Amino acid sequence: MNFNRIFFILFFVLTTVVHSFSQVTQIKGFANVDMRYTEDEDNLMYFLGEQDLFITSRVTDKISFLGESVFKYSPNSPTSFNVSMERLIIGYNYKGNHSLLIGKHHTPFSYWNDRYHHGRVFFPTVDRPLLFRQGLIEIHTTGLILQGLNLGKKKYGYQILVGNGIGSNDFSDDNTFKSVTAEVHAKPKRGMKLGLTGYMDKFSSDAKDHHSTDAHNDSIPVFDIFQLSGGAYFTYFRNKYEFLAEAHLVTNDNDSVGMTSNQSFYAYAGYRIKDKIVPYLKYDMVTIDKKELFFKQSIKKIASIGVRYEFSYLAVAKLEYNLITDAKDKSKNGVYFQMALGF
Amino acid sequence: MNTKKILNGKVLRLSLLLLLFTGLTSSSKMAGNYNGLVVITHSQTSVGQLKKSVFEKMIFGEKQTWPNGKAVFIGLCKPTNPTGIQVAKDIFDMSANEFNKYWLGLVFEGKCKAPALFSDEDDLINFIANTPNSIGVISESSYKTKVKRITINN
Repeated sequence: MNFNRIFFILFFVLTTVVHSFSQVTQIKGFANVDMRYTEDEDNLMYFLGEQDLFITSRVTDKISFLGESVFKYSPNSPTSFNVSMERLIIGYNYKGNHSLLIGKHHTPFSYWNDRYHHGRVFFPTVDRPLLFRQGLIEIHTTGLILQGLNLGKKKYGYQILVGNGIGSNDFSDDNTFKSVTAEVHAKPKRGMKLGLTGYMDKFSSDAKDHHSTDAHNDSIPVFDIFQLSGGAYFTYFRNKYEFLAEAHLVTNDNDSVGMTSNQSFYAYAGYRIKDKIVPYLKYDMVTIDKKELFFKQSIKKIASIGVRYEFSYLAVAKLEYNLITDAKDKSKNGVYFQMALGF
Repeated sequence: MNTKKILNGKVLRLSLLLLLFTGLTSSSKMAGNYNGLVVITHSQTSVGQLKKSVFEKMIFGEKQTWPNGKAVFIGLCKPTNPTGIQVAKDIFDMSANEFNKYWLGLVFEGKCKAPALFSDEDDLINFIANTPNSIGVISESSYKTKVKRITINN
């Protein structure tokens, strides 16, 4: 009798939920194909970028899903390509604009990392800033985010992420120390956003930094590193004007050489001269401490001038000239072309 | 002494002109109450009016819940039909391209749920009529009584 009653109540609740909420799932894709000519290679080369499969789903009124997997060139793979799970996030909107997000995230330490990351069709320039390419930030973190967005008149927001950190992969963590990322921001005007970020982690120098780039030194002795970083950003994209600047200080502390300070800064400015045409400038630099063992410097700075042509919001072509200065202060010229699509 | 008086007078006149200009521009902004557009919701939504600032936060995907805590579902016309173009221009202050880019960017960032976009205004009205806690904008001439009209107050 009791079982029947429970069954009836469960059946009623489930059918009511199914009827009152219809799941909304969207699948999108992004891809890019590029060309480059650099002075040292002295050859015009075509190359494939990434093919990004992006899925969002509103599972219930409160629960959502976001998945992003990328197919990209990988020289170590038997097929020269691999598939990586870039984001897998289950969100729970527990109250108003406050949510809990669990899974693999783009670490909200950098505006660029949080905002663009893969979709080249969104990038204002051809490539990411040196901050990424020199491996100064942990670009992915698997963990839990506490998030609040668009709070109050100035649209304040916060993100606090506790995750596995640098010495980890998607299934395990090399040590018991959890990384902490914090981001606070405000959007005082439409199109404007300014924020502060911080990151703290402890890891071993031989950690296989699955979530970051391959830009780290792998021929160094094994020791523990305590990383403490801070950053700030300002962005304004509205009507004809585009401006974005970010600065970060990344410190690594270890028993071998003590504390090292590494800086990165980039600024981008664009002006829409016609509905579809945006000429732009970018200056990008990274300074690695001379005592630094974990990071290695290959490029010091890049000055860029380019033009973006938007066929539509889903089809963008970019042509860019770069003056690249390497770690030995040697300069080279490079010209890049990118066709990026969303579909 | 005279120079001071003249200067004070000029400053006063300039200030008055500035005040008048500011007043005119701000009042014209207040009066720009989406002419020819109607904000609609599901017939069972208890809300009958919204402050303009609250409505704008909702329609921009910045306020995710209604005052009763229920999740907001946004439905809009694609900016390929005249109503969609007017909504993008008058409410979002964006071109069709900017409007599309805005939403795609927000969804890609993972900060907002994608709105339902419709080529046909009747499809949008049906979506709102069949989706509890939804909100959308249509043209005045397309309004049908199966959806509820929301008054926007400045």
